[in-house]
Amino acid sequence: MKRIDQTVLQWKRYFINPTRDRATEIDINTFVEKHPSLKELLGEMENNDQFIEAIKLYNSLSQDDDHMANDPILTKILDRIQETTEIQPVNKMKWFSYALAGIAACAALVMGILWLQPSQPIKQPDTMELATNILPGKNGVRLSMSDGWNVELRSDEGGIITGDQLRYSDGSPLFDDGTQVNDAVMTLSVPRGNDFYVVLADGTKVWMNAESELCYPQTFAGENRVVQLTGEAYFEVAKDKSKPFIVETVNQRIEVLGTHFNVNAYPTERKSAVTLVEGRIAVSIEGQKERVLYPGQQALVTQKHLEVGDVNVDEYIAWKNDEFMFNEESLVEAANRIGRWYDLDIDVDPALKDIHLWGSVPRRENFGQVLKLIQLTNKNVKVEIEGRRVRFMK
Amino acid sequence: MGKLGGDYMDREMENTIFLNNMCNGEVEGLTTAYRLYRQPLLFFVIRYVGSREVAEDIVADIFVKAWNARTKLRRIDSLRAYLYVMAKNASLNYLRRPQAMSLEDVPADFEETLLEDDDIFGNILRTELIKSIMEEVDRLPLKQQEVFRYTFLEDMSVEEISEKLQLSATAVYANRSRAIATLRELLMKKGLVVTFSLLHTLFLQ
Repeated sequence: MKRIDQTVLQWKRYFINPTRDRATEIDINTFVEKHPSLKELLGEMENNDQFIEAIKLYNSLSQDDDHMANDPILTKILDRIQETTEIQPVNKMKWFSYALAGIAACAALVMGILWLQPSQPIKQPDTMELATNILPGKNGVRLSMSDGWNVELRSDEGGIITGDQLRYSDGSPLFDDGTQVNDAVMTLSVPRGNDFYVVLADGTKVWMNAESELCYPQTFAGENRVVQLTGEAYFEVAKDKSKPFIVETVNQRIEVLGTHFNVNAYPTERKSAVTLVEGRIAVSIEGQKERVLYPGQQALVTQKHLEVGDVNVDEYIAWKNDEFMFNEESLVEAANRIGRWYDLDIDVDPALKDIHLWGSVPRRENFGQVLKLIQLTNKNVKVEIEGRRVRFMK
Repeated sequence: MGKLGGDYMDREMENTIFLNNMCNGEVEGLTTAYRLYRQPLLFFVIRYVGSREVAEDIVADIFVKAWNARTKLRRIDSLRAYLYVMAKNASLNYLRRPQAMSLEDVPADFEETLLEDDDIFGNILRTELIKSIMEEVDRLPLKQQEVFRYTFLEDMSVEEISEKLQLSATAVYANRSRAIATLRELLMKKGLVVTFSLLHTLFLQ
């Protein structure tokens, strides 16, 4: 609208000022050439009578502030929005945080009861015992390099730092024998049941969730910093205005200068999401114009459609803070996340498709804690565990 | 400059506040939006449908839709562009003509789309131009304002005006030409405000 405002100002000055300047005249005529419909408007303005008619019409539509309160159009609008607001909660954000606080309080209370009577809500105590023994994994994070090296990383470190020397987060070298790697393309693969983080050559930090893969160069040469991601990761991109940072996933491209955001793009799921915590990013998918995101917004890609909306960011980055957070998430969707983290094959009975989960649990804990939360939501959910196979039934 | 600059900042502040209110689901925000855009939108829609009554219904619909899309309308420009595009679509719908553009999602800035649609661009320009001229008139000293309105909007003769305002004919003439001169002056000053707003835009975006 800036362009429109400038044009409005230019035209207004041109018509009110008797000493018309030649430059503006040429400017306006060139503009009219490009936009034929403006020819009509220009003609109207040159013809004083027509223009004054337009001004009269505009003026007849005015309404002073005193009468605004009784304006029938406004009354109609307010009646109609009141109908819709009653159905939808007005401020979902606030509402959600109150609800969460409430749930936390209830959960604490019920957890206490659960503790005293562990066998009551869970019909099969042996299932709970099995569940308690299921923990997130520890091994299997691999780093492969374009020059042929492929190493399994020590998970106890939790992260690696990219540089001329490849190091663990405690500073110890990746290769004990002093092997040098130069200008390689790295692929960091985090399996199910694990998470890991990497500091890239430019200082950007990437936290990777289970079953995710990040492909990045050992050093960023060229105009952009480009990495490829499959799965989920949280990025804290180091600021460098001269070199945009680009994350590519199967179907989207995220361009940033320096900011914090979460990308969730599992090829097995029908939705992928980019959630912005800080700064500003541009998200695009093939064949569509890029969309700019502001903090607190999420770009959701379903099939070939990109949609931007407001979300509660905490929900989407909870995993990075070692938490599972559910806000009315369907059991089916939640099962994917949970399964990925505990490396379980979870099967959900279609009869449970309307069950939605609420609340949060620490995810470093055993699977039993998650089960308790699920059973808090709905006591009728039955669980069967057999090795790494879990079935939720009615 | 100081005063005009101040007005500009006040307006920006007011916009931010009411947009925020609206986004948060507060009805006062919508009422403010309505107060600001009611008149130009009615004018804009009448241009298509030719009837004030129909235009009032359409305008009511548009604001209900804007309310439902409020979380996507965080910037004043998005809101304004959204309202105009919806207004055109609703008008064409009423006239049973195919719609100009789909509004399933609301881009942060419609500007490019608007510039591509010649017809909507022309009509927005007409509306905004008249709106802003009338805003300038509102800034005139009271006597000049009255003379201006009676002369141009109510087609009153100099004699009628001088009788109504208890002024001599010479005074009416003087006020009329002063009104036009003041308008001109205001517009020149406004040039500074535009530069200022451009700077403002450049630094904030």
